Amino acid sequence: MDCKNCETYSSAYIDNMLSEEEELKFKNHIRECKSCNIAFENLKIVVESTNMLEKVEPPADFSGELHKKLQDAKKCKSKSVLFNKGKMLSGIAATLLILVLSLSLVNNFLNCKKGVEFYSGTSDMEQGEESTNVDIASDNAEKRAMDGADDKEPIMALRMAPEDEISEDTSREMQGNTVKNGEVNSEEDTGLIGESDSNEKSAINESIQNLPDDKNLSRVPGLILALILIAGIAISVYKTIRR
Amino acid sequence: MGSQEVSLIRQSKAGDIESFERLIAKYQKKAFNIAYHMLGNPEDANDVTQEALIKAYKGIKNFRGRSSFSTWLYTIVNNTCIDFIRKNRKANIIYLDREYETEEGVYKIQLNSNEDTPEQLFEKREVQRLVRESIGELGYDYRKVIILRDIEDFSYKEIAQILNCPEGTVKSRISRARNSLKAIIGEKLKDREEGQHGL
Repeated sequence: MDCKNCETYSSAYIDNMLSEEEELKFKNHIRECKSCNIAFENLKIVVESTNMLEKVEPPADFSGELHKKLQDAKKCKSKSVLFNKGKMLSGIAATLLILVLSLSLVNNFLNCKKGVEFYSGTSDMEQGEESTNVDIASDNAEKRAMDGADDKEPIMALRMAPEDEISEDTSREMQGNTVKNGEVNSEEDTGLIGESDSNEKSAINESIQNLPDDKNLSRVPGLILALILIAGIAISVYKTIRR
Repeated sequence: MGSQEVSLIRQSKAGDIESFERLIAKYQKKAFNIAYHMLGNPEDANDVTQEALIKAYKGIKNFRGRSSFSTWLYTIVNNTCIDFIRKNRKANIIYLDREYETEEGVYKIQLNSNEDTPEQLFEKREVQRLVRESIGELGYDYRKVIILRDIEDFSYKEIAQILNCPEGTVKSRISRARNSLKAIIGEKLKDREEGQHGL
Protein backbone atom coordinates (compact mmCIF):
# COMPACT_ATOMS: atom_id res chain seq x y z
CA MET A 1 0.00 0.00 0.00
CA ASP A 2 1.14 3.54 -0.69
CA CYS A 3 0.31 7.10 0.38
CA LYS A 4 -2.12 7.50 -2.52
CA ASN A 5 -4.81 5.14 -1.29
CA CYS A 6 -4.11 5.94 2.33
CA GLU A 7 -7.02 8.41 2.37
CA THR A 8 -9.55 5.71 1.48
CA TYR A 9 -8.03 3.30 3.94
CA SER A 10 -8.06 5.90 6.73
CA SER A 11 -11.73 6.56 6.25
CA ALA A 12 -12.65 2.90 6.07
CA TYR A 13 -10.45 2.16 9.08
CA ILE A 14 -12.32 4.75 11.16
CA ASP A 15 -15.56 2.96 10.31
CA ASN A 16 -14.08 -0.43 10.96
CA MET A 17 -14.68 -1.42 7.38
CA LEU A 18 -11.27 -2.89 6.54
CA SER A 19 -10.57 -6.57 6.31
CA GLU A 20 -7.97 -7.96 8.70
CA GLU A 21 -5.38 -8.04 5.99
CA GLU A 22 -6.11 -4.48 4.87
CA GLU A 23 -6.02 -3.25 8.43
CA LEU A 24 -2.61 -4.76 9.00
CA LYS A 25 -1.23 -3.18 5.84
CA PHE A 26 -2.71 0.17 6.76
CA LYS A 27 -1.34 0.13 10.31
CA ASN A 28 2.10 -0.79 9.05
CA HIS A 29 2.03 2.04 6.59
CA ILE A 30 1.04 4.79 8.99
CA ARG A 31 3.63 3.59 11.44
CA GLU A 32 6.31 4.15 8.86
CA CYS A 33 4.95 7.18 6.96
CA LYS A 34 4.83 10.25 9.15
CA SER A 35 2.82 12.40 6.74
CA CYS A 36 0.15 9.74 6.35
CA ASN A 37 0.07 9.31 10.09
CA ILE A 38 -0.68 13.01 10.63
CA ALA A 39 -3.23 12.97 7.85
CA PHE A 40 -4.94 10.02 9.50
CA GLU A 41 -4.90 11.65 12.94
CA ASN A 42 -6.39 14.85 11.51
CA LEU A 43 -9.09 12.91 9.70
CA LYS A 44 -9.95 11.16 12.92
CA ILE A 45 -10.25 14.50 14.71
CA VAL A 46 -12.53 15.83 11.98
CA VAL A 47 -14.77 12.76 12.09
CA GLU A 48 -14.91 12.77 15.88
CA SER A 49 -15.75 16.47 15.90
CA THR A 50 -18.55 15.84 13.40
CA ASN A 51 -19.82 12.99 15.55
CA MET A 52 -20.01 15.39 18.48
CA LEU A 53 -22.12 17.99 16.71
CA GLU A 54 -25.16 18.67 18.81
CA LYS A 55 -28.55 17.60 17.57
CA VAL A 56 -31.04 20.37 17.02
CA GLU A 57 -34.64 20.14 18.18
CA PRO A 58 -37.42 20.76 15.69
CA PRO A 59 -39.42 23.95 16.42
CA ALA A 60 -41.97 23.72 19.24
CA ASP A 61 -45.01 23.82 16.94
CA PHE A 62 -43.57 21.29 14.52
CA SER A 63 -46.07 18.54 15.30
CA GLY A 64 -49.04 20.88 15.42
CA GLU A 65 -48.17 22.35 12.04
CA LEU A 66 -47.65 18.89 10.62
CA HIS A 67 -51.00 17.70 11.98
CA LYS A 68 -52.82 20.47 10.13
CA LYS A 69 -50.99 19.73 6.91
CA LEU A 70 -51.73 16.02 7.27
CA GLN A 71 -55.44 16.76 7.60
CA ASP A 72 -55.30 18.90 4.47
CA ALA A 73 -53.43 16.14 2.71
CA LYS A 74 -56.04 13.61 3.74
CA LYS A 75 -58.78 15.74 2.20
CA CYS A 76 -56.81 16.12 -1.02
CA LYS A 77 -56.04 12.42 -0.97
CA SER A 78 -59.67 11.36 -0.91
CA LYS A 79 -60.37 13.83 -3.69
CA SER A 80 -57.59 12.44 -5.80
CA VAL A 81 -58.86 8.92 -5.23
CA LEU A 82 -62.22 10.02 -6.61
CA PHE A 83 -60.44 11.70 -9.45
CA ASN A 84 -58.60 8.50 -10.25
CA LYS A 85 -61.80 6.53 -10.09
CA GLY A 86 -63.35 9.00 -12.51
CA LYS A 87 -60.38 8.63 -14.78
CA MET A 88 -60.69 4.87 -14.69
CA LEU A 89 -64.38 5.00 -15.46
CA SER A 90 -63.90 7.34 -18.37
CA GLY A 91 -61.27 4.90 -19.59
CA ILE A 92 -63.84 2.12 -19.48
CA ALA A 93 -66.38 4.35 -21.18
CA ALA A 94 -63.89 5.17 -23.92
CA THR A 95 -63.11 1.49 -24.44
CA LEU A 96 -66.80 0.66 -24.73
CA LEU A 97 -67.26 3.52 -27.13
CA ILE A 98 -64.53 2.18 -29.36
CA LEU A 99 -66.02 -1.29 -29.13
CA VAL A 100 -69.42 0.00 -30.15
CA LEU A 101 -67.94 1.99 -32.98
CA SER A 102 -66.09 -0.98 -34.38
CA LEU A 103 -69.21 -3.14 -34.02
CA SER A 104 -71.20 -0.62 -36.00
CA LEU A 105 -68.57 -0.64 -38.67
CA VAL A 106 -68.80 -4.42 -38.90
CA ASN A 107 -72.56 -4.11 -38.98
CA ASN A 108 -72.37 -1.54 -41.65
CA PHE A 109 -70.42 -3.95 -43.74
CA LEU A 110 -72.84 -6.83 -43.07
CA ASN A 111 -75.88 -4.68 -43.71
CA CYS A 112 -74.61 -3.62 -47.08
CA LYS A 113 -74.73 -7.27 -48.02
CA LYS A 114 -77.98 -8.13 -46.27
CA GLY A 115 -79.77 -4.96 -47.23
CA VAL A 116 -81.19 -6.44 -50.43
CA GLU A 117 -82.61 -9.52 -48.72
CA PHE A 118 -84.41 -7.53 -46.06
CA TYR A 119 -85.95 -5.15 -48.52
CA SER A 120 -89.45 -6.67 -48.65
CA GLY A 121 -92.73 -6.91 -46.72
CA THR A 122 -92.31 -4.10 -44.25
CA SER A 123 -95.63 -2.33 -44.64
CA ASP A 124 -97.34 -4.01 -41.69
CA MET A 125 -94.26 -3.50 -39.56
CA GLU A 126 -94.38 0.20 -40.01
CA GLN A 127 -97.41 0.41 -37.81
CA GLY A 128 -95.54 -1.28 -35.03
CA GLU A 129 -92.74 1.16 -35.45
CA GLU A 130 -95.09 4.06 -34.97
CA SER A 131 -96.44 2.63 -31.76
CA THR A 132 -92.95 2.17 -30.33
CA ASN A 133 -92.20 5.73 -31.21
CA VAL A 134 -95.16 6.85 -29.15
CA ASP A 135 -94.15 4.59 -26.29
CA ILE A 136 -90.71 6.01 -26.17
CA ALA A 137 -91.92 9.55 -26.45
CA SER A 138 -94.12 9.05 -23.41
CA ASP A 139 -91.27 7.32 -21.62
CA ASN A 140 -89.08 10.29 -22.23
CA ALA A 141 -91.71 12.67 -20.98
CA GLU A 142 -92.03 10.66 -17.81
CA LYS A 143 -88.35 10.69 -17.20
CA ARG A 144 -88.07 14.39 -17.80
CA ALA A 145 -90.73 14.91 -15.20
CA MET A 146 -88.90 12.71 -12.71
CA ASP A 147 -85.44 14.06 -13.17
CA GLY A 148 -86.24 17.68 -13.65
CA ALA A 149 -83.82 19.60 -15.77
CA ASP A 150 -81.13 17.02 -16.33
CA ASP A 151 -78.48 17.81 -18.89
CA LYS A 152 -78.36 14.23 -19.97
CA GLU A 153 -81.97 14.12 -21.04
CA PRO A 154 -81.58 15.73 -24.43
CA ILE A 155 -78.85 13.28 -25.24
CA MET A 156 -81.04 10.37 -24.28
CA ALA A 157 -83.97 11.67 -26.23
CA LEU A 158 -81.75 12.22 -29.19
CA ARG A 159 -80.45 8.74 -29.03
CA MET A 160 -83.81 7.10 -28.53
CA ALA A 161 -85.42 8.51 -31.59
CA PRO A 162 -83.31 6.83 -34.19
CA GLU A 163 -82.86 3.66 -32.23
CA ASP A 164 -86.38 2.60 -32.98
CA GLU A 165 -85.40 2.58 -36.60
CA ILE A 166 -82.96 -0.20 -36.00
CA SER A 167 -83.82 -3.45 -37.67
CA GLU A 168 -84.24 -6.57 -35.61
CA ASP A 169 -81.07 -8.46 -36.05
CA THR A 170 -79.08 -10.51 -33.60
CA SER A 171 -75.91 -8.59 -34.04
CA ARG A 172 -77.88 -5.40 -33.65
CA GLU A 173 -79.23 -6.59 -30.35
CA MET A 174 -75.73 -7.23 -29.18
CA GLN A 175 -74.86 -3.74 -30.07
CA GLY A 176 -77.81 -2.46 -28.15
CA ASN A 177 -76.58 -4.27 -25.08
CA THR A 178 -73.18 -2.77 -25.46
CA VAL A 179 -74.70 0.65 -25.65
CA LYS A 180 -76.59 -0.15 -22.51
CA ASN A 181 -73.41 -1.17 -20.72
CA GLY A 182 -71.73 2.01 -21.73
CA GLU A 183 -74.74 3.81 -20.43
CA VAL A 184 -74.55 2.16 -17.03
CA ASN A 185 -70.91 2.99 -16.68
CA SER A 186 -71.21 6.61 -17.56
CA GLU A 187 -74.19 6.88 -15.29
CA GLU A 188 -72.15 5.61 -12.37
CA ASP A 189 -69.45 7.97 -13.30
CA THR A 190 -71.54 11.07 -13.19
CA GLY A 191 -73.38 9.82 -10.18
CA LEU A 192 -76.78 9.94 -11.79
CA ILE A 193 -77.93 6.51 -10.80
CA GLY A 194 -81.59 6.65 -10.09
CA GLU A 195 -84.87 5.01 -10.80
CA SER A 196 -85.00 6.64 -14.15
CA ASP A 197 -82.04 4.55 -15.14
CA SER A 198 -83.92 1.29 -15.05
CA ASN A 199 -86.75 2.94 -16.93
CA GLU A 200 -84.36 4.03 -19.57
CA LYS A 201 -82.81 0.64 -19.83
CA SER A 202 -86.10 -1.15 -20.18
CA ALA A 203 -87.14 1.40 -22.71
CA ILE A 204 -84.06 0.73 -24.75
CA ASN A 205 -84.56 -2.99 -24.40
CA GLU A 206 -88.15 -2.72 -25.45
CA SER A 207 -87.33 -0.56 -28.37
CA ILE A 208 -84.67 -2.93 -29.51
CA GLN A 209 -86.88 -5.96 -29.20
CA ASN A 210 -89.84 -4.36 -30.92
CA LEU A 211 -87.80 -2.91 -33.67
CA PRO A 212 -89.10 -3.61 -37.09
CA ASP A 213 -87.03 -3.92 -40.21
CA ASP A 214 -86.45 -0.73 -42.04
CA LYS A 215 -85.96 0.28 -45.58
CA ASN A 216 -83.17 2.69 -44.84
CA LEU A 217 -80.82 0.06 -43.54
CA SER A 218 -77.69 1.62 -44.93
CA ARG A 219 -78.43 4.93 -43.23
CA VAL A 220 -78.80 3.45 -39.74
CA PRO A 221 -75.22 2.52 -38.73
CA GLY A 222 -73.92 5.93 -39.71
CA LEU A 223 -76.57 7.60 -37.61
CA ILE A 224 -75.88 5.42 -34.60
CA LEU A 225 -72.21 6.07 -34.96
CA ALA A 226 -72.69 9.79 -35.00
CA LEU A 227 -75.09 9.73 -32.08
CA ILE A 228 -72.84 7.57 -29.95
CA LEU A 229 -69.99 9.91 -30.68
CA ILE A 230 -72.07 12.92 -29.71
CA ALA A 231 -73.22 11.18 -26.55
CA GLY A 232 -69.66 10.28 -25.63
CA ILE A 233 -68.40 13.78 -26.18
CA ALA A 234 -71.32 15.23 -24.25
CA ILE A 235 -70.69 12.92 -21.30
CA SER A 236 -67.01 13.79 -21.13
CA VAL A 237 -67.76 17.50 -21.41
CA TYR A 238 -70.33 17.16 -18.66
CA LYS A 239 -67.83 15.37 -16.44
CA THR A 240 -65.16 17.97 -17.04
CA ILE A 241 -67.56 20.72 -16.09
CA ARG A 242 -68.62 18.90 -12.96
CA ARG A 243 -65.03 18.45 -11.87
CA MET B 1 -39.58 -3.67 12.02
CA GLY B 2 -41.56 -4.45 15.12
CA SER B 3 -45.09 -5.78 14.91
CA GLN B 4 -46.34 -2.49 16.30
CA GLU B 5 -44.66 -0.61 13.48
CA VAL B 6 -46.14 -3.00 10.94
CA SER B 7 -49.65 -2.37 12.22
CA LEU B 8 -49.03 1.39 12.33
CA ILE B 9 -47.89 1.24 8.72
CA ARG B 10 -51.01 -0.69 7.77
CA GLN B 11 -53.26 1.85 9.46
CA SER B 12 -51.33 4.72 7.90
CA LYS B 13 -51.85 3.15 4.50
CA ALA B 14 -55.57 3.30 5.21
CA GLY B 15 -55.13 7.04 5.75
CA ASP B 16 -55.20 7.16 9.56
CA ILE B 17 -53.39 10.35 10.55
CA GLU B 18 -52.93 9.43 14.19
CA SER B 19 -51.21 6.16 13.34
CA PHE B 20 -48.95 7.94 10.90
CA GLU B 21 -47.99 10.49 13.54
CA ARG B 22 -47.16 7.74 15.99
CA LEU B 23 -45.21 5.94 13.29
CA ILE B 24 -42.97 8.90 12.49
CA ALA B 25 -42.65 10.18 16.07
CA LYS B 26 -39.28 8.58 16.72
CA TYR B 27 -37.86 9.48 13.32
CA GLN B 28 -38.86 13.08 12.90
CA LYS B 29 -36.04 14.57 14.95
CA LYS B 30 -33.49 12.75 12.86
CA ALA B 31 -35.32 13.79 9.72
CA PHE B 32 -35.25 17.38 10.89
CA ASN B 33 -31.53 17.20 11.66
CA ILE B 34 -30.70 15.79 8.25
CA ALA B 35 -32.57 18.67 6.63
CA TYR B 36 -31.03 21.17 9.02
CA HIS B 37 -27.47 20.17 8.19
CA MET B 38 -28.22 19.95 4.49
CA LEU B 39 -29.85 23.37 4.30
CA GLY B 40 -28.00 25.17 7.05
CA ASN B 41 -30.91 26.94 8.75
CA PRO B 42 -33.86 25.86 10.90
CA GLU B 43 -36.55 27.66 8.87
CA ASP B 44 -35.83 25.84 5.63
CA ALA B 45 -35.25 22.64 7.57
CA ASN B 46 -38.71 22.98 9.09
CA ASP B 47 -40.42 23.55 5.73
CA VAL B 48 -38.58 20.76 4.00
CA THR B 49 -39.04 18.21 6.80
CA GLN B 50 -42.76 18.93 6.91
CA GLU B 51 -43.00 18.62 3.16
CA ALA B 52 -41.10 15.34 3.24
CA LEU B 53 -43.35 13.91 5.95
CA ILE B 54 -46.47 14.90 4.02
CA LYS B 55 -44.99 13.22 0.96
CA ALA B 56 -44.37 10.13 3.06
CA TYR B 57 -47.98 10.16 4.28
CA LYS B 58 -49.30 10.48 0.75
CA GLY B 59 -46.93 7.86 -0.61
CA ILE B 60 -46.97 5.31 2.17
CA LYS B 61 -49.14 3.06 -0.01
CA ASN B 62 -46.06 2.59 -2.18
CA PHE B 63 -43.93 1.44 0.76
CA ARG B 64 -43.43 -2.27 0.15
CA GLY B 65 -41.16 -3.05 3.06
CA ARG B 66 -38.12 -3.85 0.98
CA SER B 67 -36.07 -1.57 3.22
CA SER B 68 -36.88 -0.56 6.76
CA PHE B 69 -39.49 2.15 7.14
CA SER B 70 -36.92 4.57 8.58
CA THR B 71 -34.63 4.17 5.57
CA TRP B 72 -37.57 4.74 3.25
CA LEU B 73 -38.53 7.86 5.20
CA TYR B 74 -35.00 9.30 5.20
CA THR B 75 -34.77 8.71 1.46
CA ILE B 76 -37.77 10.98 1.05
CA VAL B 77 -36.22 13.57 3.37
CA ASN B 78 -33.00 13.48 1.39
CA ASN B 79 -34.77 13.79 -1.95
CA THR B 80 -36.95 16.62 -0.70
CA CYS B 81 -33.83 18.47 0.46
CA ILE B 82 -32.27 18.06 -2.98
CA ASP B 83 -35.48 19.26 -4.68
CA PHE B 84 -35.54 22.29 -2.40
CA ILE B 85 -31.91 23.08 -3.14
CA ARG B 86 -32.50 22.76 -6.89
CA LYS B 87 -35.49 25.06 -6.70
CA ASN B 88 -33.67 27.67 -4.66
CA ARG B 89 -30.35 27.26 -6.33
CA LYS B 90 -28.13 30.27 -6.20
CA ALA B 91 -25.21 30.80 -8.52
CA ASN B 92 -22.59 29.89 -5.95
CA ILE B 93 -24.27 26.86 -4.50
CA ILE B 94 -22.81 24.03 -6.56
CA TYR B 95 -19.26 23.21 -5.95
CA LEU B 96 -17.29 20.08 -6.24
CA ASP B 97 -14.69 21.14 -3.83
CA ARG B 98 -15.38 24.79 -3.48
CA GLU B 99 -16.65 27.42 -5.76
CA TYR B 100 -16.47 31.14 -5.37
CA GLU B 101 -18.51 33.74 -7.05
CA THR B 102 -16.87 36.95 -8.18
CA GLU B 103 -17.91 39.68 -10.57
CA GLU B 104 -16.21 37.84 -13.40
CA GLY B 105 -18.19 34.71 -12.68
CA VAL B 106 -17.86 31.52 -10.80
CA TYR B 107 -14.56 29.84 -10.41
CA LYS B 108 -13.57 26.81 -8.57
CA ILE B 109 -10.78 26.28 -6.17
CA GLN B 110 -9.60 22.76 -6.19
CA LEU B 111 -8.61 21.93 -2.70
CA ASN B 112 -5.37 20.10 -2.85
CA SER B 113 -4.96 17.51 -0.20
CA ASN B 114 -1.81 17.33 1.82
CA GLU B 115 0.45 16.33 -1.03
CA ASP B 116 2.36 19.60 -1.39
CA THR B 117 2.20 21.04 2.07
CA PRO B 118 2.90 18.79 4.99
CA GLU B 119 -0.01 18.67 7.39
CA GLN B 120 0.11 19.93 10.88
CA LEU B 121 -1.71 18.15 13.57
CA PHE B 122 -5.07 19.83 14.19
CA GLU B 123 -6.10 21.23 17.48
CA LYS B 124 -9.23 19.32 18.41
CA ARG B 125 -10.96 22.21 20.13
CA GLU B 126 -10.44 24.45 17.11
CA VAL B 127 -11.78 21.81 14.76
CA GLN B 128 -14.92 21.42 16.84
CA ARG B 129 -15.59 25.11 16.49
CA LEU B 130 -15.10 25.06 12.74
CA VAL B 131 -16.75 21.81 11.75
CA ARG B 132 -20.35 23.03 11.46
CA GLU B 133 -19.65 25.94 9.14
CA SER B 134 -17.19 23.83 7.18
CA ILE B 135 -19.85 21.19 6.46
CA GLY B 136 -21.90 24.02 5.00
CA GLU B 137 -19.12 24.66 2.52
CA LEU B 138 -19.05 21.10 1.22
CA GLY B 139 -20.73 20.20 -2.05
CA TYR B 140 -24.11 18.54 -1.56
CA ASP B 141 -23.03 15.06 -2.53
CA TYR B 142 -20.33 15.16 0.10
CA ARG B 143 -22.50 16.94 2.61
CA LYS B 144 -25.12 14.19 2.34
CA VAL B 145 -22.76 11.39 3.23
CA ILE B 146 -21.10 13.34 6.05
CA ILE B 147 -24.51 14.03 7.57
CA LEU B 148 -25.71 10.47 7.20
CA ARG B 149 -22.52 8.77 8.31
CA ASP B 150 -20.84 11.09 10.81
CA ILE B 151 -23.74 13.08 12.24
CA GLU B 152 -26.63 10.62 12.08
CA ASP B 153 -24.54 7.45 12.34
CA PHE B 154 -26.11 5.38 9.56
CA SER B 155 -24.32 2.26 8.35
CA TYR B 156 -22.82 2.10 4.86
CA LYS B 157 -25.61 -0.25 3.86
CA GLU B 158 -28.31 2.10 5.09
CA ILE B 159 -26.70 5.04 3.33
CA ALA B 160 -26.54 3.02 0.13
CA GLN B 161 -30.28 2.39 0.45
CA ILE B 162 -31.09 6.00 1.25
CA LEU B 163 -29.01 7.36 -1.62
CA ASN B 164 -29.92 4.46 -3.89
CA CYS B 165 -26.36 3.69 -4.93
CA PRO B 166 -23.92 0.80 -4.45
CA GLU B 167 -22.13 0.41 -1.15
CA GLY B 168 -18.78 0.78 -2.88
CA THR B 169 -19.79 4.23 -4.09
CA VAL B 170 -20.81 5.14 -0.56
CA LYS B 171 -17.47 4.01 0.77
CA SER B 172 -15.41 6.04 -1.65
CA ARG B 173 -17.68 9.05 -1.39
CA ILE B 174 -17.45 9.06 2.39
CA SER B 175 -13.69 8.93 2.12
CA ARG B 176 -13.54 11.82 -0.34
CA ALA B 177 -16.08 13.84 1.62
CA ARG B 178 -14.20 13.48 4.86
CA ASN B 179 -10.92 14.42 3.28
CA SER B 180 -12.56 17.38 1.58
CA LEU B 181 -13.96 18.48 4.92
CA LYS B 182 -10.57 18.05 6.48
CA ALA B 183 -9.03 20.21 3.76
CA ILE B 184 -11.60 22.98 4.31
CA ILE B 185 -10.95 22.94 8.04
CA GLY B 186 -7.20 22.85 7.43
CA GLU B 187 -7.46 25.94 5.28
CA LYS B 188 -9.49 27.76 7.87
CA LEU B 189 -6.99 26.89 10.56
CA LYS B 190 -4.15 28.09 8.37
CA ASP B 191 -5.95 31.38 7.59
CA ARG B 192 -6.51 31.92 11.25
CA GLU B 193 -2.91 31.25 12.08
CA GLU B 194 -1.69 33.60 9.39
CA GLY B 195 -4.13 36.25 10.62
CA GLN B 196 -2.74 35.94 14.11
CA HIS B 197 0.85 36.19 12.89
CA GLY B 198 -0.02 39.20 10.78
CA LEU B 199 -1.23 41.14 13.77
